[in-house]
Amino acid sequence: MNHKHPLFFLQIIIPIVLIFIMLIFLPRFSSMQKWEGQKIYNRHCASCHGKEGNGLKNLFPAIRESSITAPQDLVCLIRNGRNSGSVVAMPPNQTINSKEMKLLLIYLYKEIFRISVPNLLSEEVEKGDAFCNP
Amino acid sequence: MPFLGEPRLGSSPSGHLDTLYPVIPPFSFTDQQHHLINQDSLKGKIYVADFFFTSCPTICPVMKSQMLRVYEAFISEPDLMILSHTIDPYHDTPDVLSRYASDLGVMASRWKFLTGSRDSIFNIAEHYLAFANTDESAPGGFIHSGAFVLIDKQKHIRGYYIGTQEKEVDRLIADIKILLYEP
Ligand code: HEC
Repeated sequence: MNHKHPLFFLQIIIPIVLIFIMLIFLPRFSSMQKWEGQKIYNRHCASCHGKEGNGLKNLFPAIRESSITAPQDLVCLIRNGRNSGSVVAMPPNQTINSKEMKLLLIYLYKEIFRISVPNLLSEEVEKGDAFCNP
Repeated sequence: MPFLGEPRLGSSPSGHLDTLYPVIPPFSFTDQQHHLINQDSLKGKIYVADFFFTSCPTICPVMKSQMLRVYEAFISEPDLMILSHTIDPYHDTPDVLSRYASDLGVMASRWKFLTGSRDSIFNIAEHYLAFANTDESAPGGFIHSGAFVLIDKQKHIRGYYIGTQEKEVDRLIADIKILLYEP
């Protein structure tokens, strides 16, 4: 005789329920991430580069077609600012914290540059911050 | 369209007692082509005035992208001018303003970027009901209003708009169309 514990069915049900919950929350989590990233982008970057990253004429570059996309380079650029001789400069930004920096970069990759998010982004952001902070 | 500012009683040009609305007093500034600009340069024209500085990291780029909409809407209307005053004249020389204007792609005949002594700029800002001042704690070192101010041919203030908001600038564009037909 095959004796099964009366609560045997829970062994199957519980994992199924857990997977179900994850499937519901995963997209929510990533759209929350997008929303957070968008807030950071709008607060710190959109005034010059525009909400969609289209820039403003020859004054502020359209970062949709950014020549700088490597995560460490982006962190350096954002932290130190840049002026390669144009009449306006990109100002340094030390107020974004490293958690926000990661969310901002994810937003840049997905919504502005529209390229895939690089692997090991957290580590790359940390490295960028370690090497670039003046 | 209304007249803005605090009215006072005084005698009108025809000698009657009347409520008089404030007018922009005479001024003299230098534009991005090193030309002197005063009220004679604006005879018979209406204009929009604002205050900014080229190294402003916050609202100015948004104001400029909105002002560009005004510029483009009236590109073939010689009776409308735009006057953008810098509140950072030490940095924003006529040459800096000239590069700024050309990177924005706008013609000096229609959109003047003005500089002058700091006191005269801060002082004229008050007449436009805008404010401008130095503030060490503000990003870029200055605080200023993001207003666009519409001035008629008699130098009266006829409209006041938040220069960073698309809806407000739509209202400005509509008001300019009306004001252009006033004598
Ligand atoms: C005050 C205006 C201003 C703000 C705010 C600003 N930038 Fe910039 N940005 C510039 C200017 C000007 C340049 C060009 C600098 C140069 O090379 O002289 C630039 C360049 C860039 C570039 C390089 C584009 C290329 O192809 O070379 C990227 C990427 C960029 N910015 C991203 C950002 C991000 C992300 C933020 C927000 C954290 C931001 N910027 C905030 C003005 C600004």
